[in-house]
Amino acid sequence: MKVLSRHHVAVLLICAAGAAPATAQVASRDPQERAAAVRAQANRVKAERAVQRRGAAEAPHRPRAAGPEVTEAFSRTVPLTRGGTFELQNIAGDVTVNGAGGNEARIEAMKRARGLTEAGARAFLNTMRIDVVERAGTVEVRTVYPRANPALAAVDYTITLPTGANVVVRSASGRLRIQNVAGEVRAQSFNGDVSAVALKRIRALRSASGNIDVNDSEADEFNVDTLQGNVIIRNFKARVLDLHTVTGNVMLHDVATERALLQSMAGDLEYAGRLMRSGRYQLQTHGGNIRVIPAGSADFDLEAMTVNGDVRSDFVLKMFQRPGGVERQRLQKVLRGTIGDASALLSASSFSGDIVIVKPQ
Amino acid sequence: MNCSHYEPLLSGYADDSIGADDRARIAAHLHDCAACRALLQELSAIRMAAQSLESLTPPARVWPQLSAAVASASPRTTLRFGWFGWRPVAAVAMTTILATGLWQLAALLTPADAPRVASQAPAPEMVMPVAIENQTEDDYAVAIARLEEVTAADRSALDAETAGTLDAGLVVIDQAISESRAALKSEPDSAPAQESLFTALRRKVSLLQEMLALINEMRKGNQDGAARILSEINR
Amino acid sequence: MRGAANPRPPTADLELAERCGRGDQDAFEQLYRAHAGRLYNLIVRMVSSTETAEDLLQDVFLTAYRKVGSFRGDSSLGTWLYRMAVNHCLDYLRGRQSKMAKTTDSLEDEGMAEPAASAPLVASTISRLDLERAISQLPDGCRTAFVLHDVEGFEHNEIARLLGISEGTSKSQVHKARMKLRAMLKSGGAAASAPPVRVGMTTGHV
Repeated sequence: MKVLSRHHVAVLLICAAGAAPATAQVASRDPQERAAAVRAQANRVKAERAVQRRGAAEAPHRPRAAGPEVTEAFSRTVPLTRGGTFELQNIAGDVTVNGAGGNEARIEAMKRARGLTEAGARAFLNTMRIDVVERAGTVEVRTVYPRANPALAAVDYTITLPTGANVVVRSASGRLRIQNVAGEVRAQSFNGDVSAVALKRIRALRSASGNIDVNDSEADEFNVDTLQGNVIIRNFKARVLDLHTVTGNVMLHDVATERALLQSMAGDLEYAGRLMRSGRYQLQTHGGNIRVIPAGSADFDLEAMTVNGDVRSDFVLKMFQRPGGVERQRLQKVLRGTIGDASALLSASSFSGDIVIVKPQ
Repeated sequence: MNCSHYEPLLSGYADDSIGADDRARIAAHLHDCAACRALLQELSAIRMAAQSLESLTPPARVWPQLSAAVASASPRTTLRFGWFGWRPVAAVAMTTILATGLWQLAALLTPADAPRVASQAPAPEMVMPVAIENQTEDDYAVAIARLEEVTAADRSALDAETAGTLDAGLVVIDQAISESRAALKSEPDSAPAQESLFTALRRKVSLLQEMLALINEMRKGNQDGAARILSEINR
Repeated sequence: MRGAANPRPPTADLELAERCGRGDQDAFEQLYRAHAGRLYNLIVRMVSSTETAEDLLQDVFLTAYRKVGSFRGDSSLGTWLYRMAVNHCLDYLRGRQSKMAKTTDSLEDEGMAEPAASAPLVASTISRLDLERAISQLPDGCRTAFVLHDVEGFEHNEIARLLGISEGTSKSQVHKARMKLRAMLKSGGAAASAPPVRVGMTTGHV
């Protein structure tokens, strides 16, 4: 992934340059040096996270421990109406959900268990249950087994259900992939990537250490939340986007939202898309950089502020009929101004990162 | 020369806001009166200086306070997808955050379709209200201290990887908090520093809440009586 | 010249007002972002204090939020807010004045004395600080007209509508203000008894 390779490079650079002393940020009294030290520290943290993240993302969720693996297939088909809800609670394992025609949910699963001996593995396998509960309009599937390391036990699912169904998937560990569903979709995996393709009403996607990937989808109100994971959203439309990450980088390309709040602690935020009339866009980071690429006709009111970073805009902004420029206000930099009829509000705030408003090429 | 007769009209002359007749008379007088010419120049100078006075901007804190004031009239909460079920959590931008007391936390840990926090009836003095945006730093500190106390006590319920992921997040958030605080010491009005600080504080509260919910979910799993397989160090 | 508030097509104003009236937070924020800056400028100079101005700015918007339902589009939203802001300031000043011994009459007499001979005033040499300080010492009535006309760039007819006075009064008030300012600036700036002025130098606010 493009984002990961950037971090790969960053890791190499930082290793090559040698680590700056951790106390650098408090030592210097010169604001420039302090700012640079803060940035270096943030980059170091990011690089460390990136290494961890790569490790987490690459780990397959197959029992890897030494010892034989035993498996058991499971298959069940239950009726599910169009507007019905399918809920899956898994512990470890990959989950794929496909929307297709029909009015039933087909549940195919593979239980996997690994132990020191085959007997031991099979004994554990026998404790692994897949409970399917049908209620009015809802199908609930739950994986049940005693707490175990994902390396030792997992259940992989492939679910096919009506396109119009609502989907809720929760997993502690494992990759989730949901595609072609027009109902409301919520999915979370603590330690796994979450991927969404061709969804019509995504409501929420969350992962702690996994990456989140959304393509060719739409939403009304969409929440995204990660701790370390990157978020990449392409070809997307939503009324409201509420996106939070701690160290993940965020890249939104070819998106159109009416209101967007993108917030990160250390990750970078990039938003390339239309700024709608009367839209409100708020990007806030602590250590990350902010990059906005407004597509189409530019009509926005910009307020960009940073303490230690830099701020610049390709667009020539106006303020009270005078050209707007970057003002140094004591220890922060502010760029404000309007372009066009200023109907969209764009607010970018970063503590130590840079803010750039770029004209699309 | 009756300058006092013309003087009140000089501003109008300078602004070109008087009628043609008056204009002509004053022009004629000015032709002969150096004092009035000088006065006219000075009145114009004052106007020009006034036009170029600095554009002041309202402090950044005004909007959040305004927003909070009107939000309390029409509260908006959005359900966020917590790790174990839906909880009312902070919505877009400037709305509510749950700063919970210990009694309310118990309600958060019950399954997804549990009654919302507000319908629980906790002891009033133990409950921190569902607060709006301008919760003070101290309020957050209290909530964080309570949550840290509770999570520290039962951390062992989490497996190493999960705990590690959560801790890594907390490290970054704590760094943001301390950097923002440091900046606010020398620049208390810095809007980006304020935003960073309060975003980080809110994030810390919600992350600790998640941690606590996870701990309790793990504990429930143990209580089911199933044998617990110790996790391997697998990397 | 800054001129009147941002020209907006009247229907856009009505629409925004309606949305605010329905409790639409976004609409209200839009209203704030569009007008708070200019209102703040006006209020600060009318009351000569950034702290009071901050409070009054909030009051104005809260009042606007409550009364937006009564906005009919007779004027632009900007003008509507301005009128509200001016009234809030005048109320504040009247309230403050009743506590103070000074009356406008005595100030009027003081201001008319011809200042001692000194170098002629030139726009480029009038210090902003001195001017801000001098403005803050103007009597309330003419200060309002001066700020609206010379600082904010309103025409006399607009000021007349805003303040509920005649155009002629507006013109004479502006002139009176300028004469007083001239006197103050030529006699070396603010009088010793002037309250500390914080306007103009507090651009650290974002």
